[in-house]
Amino acid sequence: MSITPLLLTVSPRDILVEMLSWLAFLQRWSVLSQLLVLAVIVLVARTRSLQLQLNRYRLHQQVPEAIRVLLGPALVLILAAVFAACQAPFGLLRYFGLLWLGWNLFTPLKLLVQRVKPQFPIEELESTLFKPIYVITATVSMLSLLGSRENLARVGIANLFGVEITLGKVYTAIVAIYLVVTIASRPAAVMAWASGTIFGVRQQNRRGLELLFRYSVIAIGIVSVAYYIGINGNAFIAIAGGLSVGIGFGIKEIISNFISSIWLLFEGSVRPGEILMINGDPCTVRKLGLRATQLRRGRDGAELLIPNQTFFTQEAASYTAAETARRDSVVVGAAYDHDPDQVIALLLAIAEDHPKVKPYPPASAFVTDFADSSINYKVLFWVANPLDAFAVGSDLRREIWKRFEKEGITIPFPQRQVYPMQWPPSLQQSHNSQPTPDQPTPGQEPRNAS
Amino acid sequence: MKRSLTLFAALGLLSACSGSDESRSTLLRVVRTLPANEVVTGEESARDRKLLRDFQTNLRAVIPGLRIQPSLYSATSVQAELQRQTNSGLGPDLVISDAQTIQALFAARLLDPVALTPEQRQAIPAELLTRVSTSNGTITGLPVSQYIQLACYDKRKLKSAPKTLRELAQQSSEGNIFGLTQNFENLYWSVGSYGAGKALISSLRGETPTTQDVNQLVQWLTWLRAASFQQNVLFMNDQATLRQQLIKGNLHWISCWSTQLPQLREALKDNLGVGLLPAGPAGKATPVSRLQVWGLGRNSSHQQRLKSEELMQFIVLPWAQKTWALRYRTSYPVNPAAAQIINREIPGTQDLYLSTDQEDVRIGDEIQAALNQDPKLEQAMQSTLNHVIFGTETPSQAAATLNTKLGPSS
Repeated sequence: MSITPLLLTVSPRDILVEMLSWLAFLQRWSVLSQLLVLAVIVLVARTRSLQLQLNRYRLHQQVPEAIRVLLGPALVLILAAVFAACQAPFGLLRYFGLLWLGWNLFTPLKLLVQRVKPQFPIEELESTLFKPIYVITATVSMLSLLGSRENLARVGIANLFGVEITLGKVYTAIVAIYLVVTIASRPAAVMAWASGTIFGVRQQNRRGLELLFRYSVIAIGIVSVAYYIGINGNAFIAIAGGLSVGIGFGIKEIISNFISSIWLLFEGSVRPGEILMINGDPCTVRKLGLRATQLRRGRDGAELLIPNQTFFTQEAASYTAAETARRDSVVVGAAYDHDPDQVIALLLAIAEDHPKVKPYPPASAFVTDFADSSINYKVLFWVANPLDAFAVGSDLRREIWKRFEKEGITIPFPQRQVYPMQWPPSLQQSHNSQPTPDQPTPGQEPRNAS
Repeated sequence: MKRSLTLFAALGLLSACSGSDESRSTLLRVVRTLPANEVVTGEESARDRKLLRDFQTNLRAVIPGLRIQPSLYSATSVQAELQRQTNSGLGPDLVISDAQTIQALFAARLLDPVALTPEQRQAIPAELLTRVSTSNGTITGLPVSQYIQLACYDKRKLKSAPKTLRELAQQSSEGNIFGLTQNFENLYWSVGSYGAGKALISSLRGETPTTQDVNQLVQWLTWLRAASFQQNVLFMNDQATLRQQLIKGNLHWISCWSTQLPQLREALKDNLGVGLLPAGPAGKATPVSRLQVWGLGRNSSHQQRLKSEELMQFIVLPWAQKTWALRYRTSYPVNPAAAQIINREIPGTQDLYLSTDQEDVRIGDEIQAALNQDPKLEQAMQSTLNHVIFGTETPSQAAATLNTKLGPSS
């Protein structure tokens, strides 16, 4: 089966002819007069020198912003009424007046919502939903006014698997997919919340569940749109066949990452909120995307974007896969003079006193080595949040220093003595060397080095 | 300021391009309508564009510089669409539709009256002009051609179309499947076969129908019920379903309109047979004719109006009438001189030329006009027919119901 009969006959000619036919409207005075009036009002409203004049008379202060933005559209609508009273065509003026008014109403409405309910995400909704819907509606109604909506909608632009794809279907499909992708997060969040409430799903799992619901809503939306366009099951099989070739060559990585993300969600090993060790650093999973997982590195707050398939092919230490608590340790050396039992008891007391060290499993301390100049000890402790381990370790070291100081336990460290020498050595230096005043005496040992 | 100046410059440039010189090309926006129960599909639209492009190419020699941009609407939505466009100054230059729609658009002040030239008056029979005139004699549109109802059949299944309703019954009992619509306008041809129109028109005029007229109405309704009870006579909701079923081979014979022939020819090719609708005991079938009428939009510029009138002047001339009728074979000329040529060129079509039986056409038109004006009447008529077809009302009861509901007291 060749590709050519499946996917071609793109014909933009009818679209161009239709669009060029709009120029014929400019032969009509009824259209020109409306456009000229509109152009003059827009010109006046946009002229900077006039705005400066308003500033001079402080009209800006007298008339609030919310009212000022409505003046231009109101004038256009009043003139449309005058045209109608004179029994002249007025629809264009009314249309553009209402369009302008609607657009300018976004600002006062947004301010109102922000004042009434500040936590409502009006900014996000305005830019992702309301304004796009407004532009789509305005475009469709303008085409309808021009008498071209039906014509353009029925223009066949491509033949996909024997299905005639018209411009209207393509437009509707794009709009529908945009809306599905934009809005899908809302029902998905509600579903995840409901399942969390009803079935007692944990907070971390809820975020994964939400993502799964979101992908499901998007997938159902896209399949519905495809069915609306007329692409049937056979076409899907053909698309899948074509994609398998594409996957094999070009988009293997993308698909691999996508499938990995779905799998990871099902598996539950990498979910938003999880803590993973990446190259020895604990990182929090912030977002599991289609292609990559976004993590925040605890050490420096850097955002890491790691392709999802990395978690498939490489090992990653998780501190939250089954149990969120993490075990960490502090190593310290004490002089041979001190009883190891006393040191171990002190270390355990220090660990147990720290508020972030978990009481269960209890902290434990061990003698790990009889080193050259010290007996080494290791104190092991559990913290509830793996990201706290680093800070708790620091706290414990500080506390050990203070308590050792208080109890008179020394922490030995290697020493180096430096002697100035002459060559050939003088007789006095060879037989009767004396330390200089700034050199430590052999019996005096420095203390408290970690 | 700079941006605004650019806008003005662009406007000026565009208006200069559009020009008003006669030698320059003039674009006419032409709106066509499909019957109310038809859905405008992409294929229909593409076919329409192709047809008008072809028409435009042929016109170049006669009317130089004329360009046509078509739009297709359903008759149910056209008024609302044109209202909005005309209010904005963006209305079409020409509207091509049936007489009733043109009348309705004119009544809604969406069309300008047509000032007929002496040549046009000579070319179009007076009785056709009365179908597009208002009560004060204003001509709302120019009749250009006539569409009529025919019998369409699949030659692979049927050797010839049944000439009488008796033959239809005979062939259906032999296993041939016939398709009709429940819609009254599409069934009107059979009203003439039984002479039942007089009873209906009497009721509509507020007169008491004679016993003989009522009997004929009852006979028609009896036939309708008997047909619906037959295994191989199927009643469909609309004309579009009938066509689809004929194309798929599920139906062997349907009642069709001449306007639908291109779609059927495209699908069935040489297997499409076209014939007359069957006659009944009272006489020939009386298919309703739909006039194709051209109306003038209200927003045209001077140049556009001149070109529209020039086109309308040309289109009713015998040569144009003959050429388009023969080329597309979907309509019959309004110009009697051209009709004679058509009758000679296409054997057997003289019977199809509706002007030969004006009385039935007039009755059909009057009934249809009354039903169109009053949706309640149309609903009552359709509801009664449905009751007969589904057997929930006897023909005598239905005749009485129709007399009551169509009368002025209802």
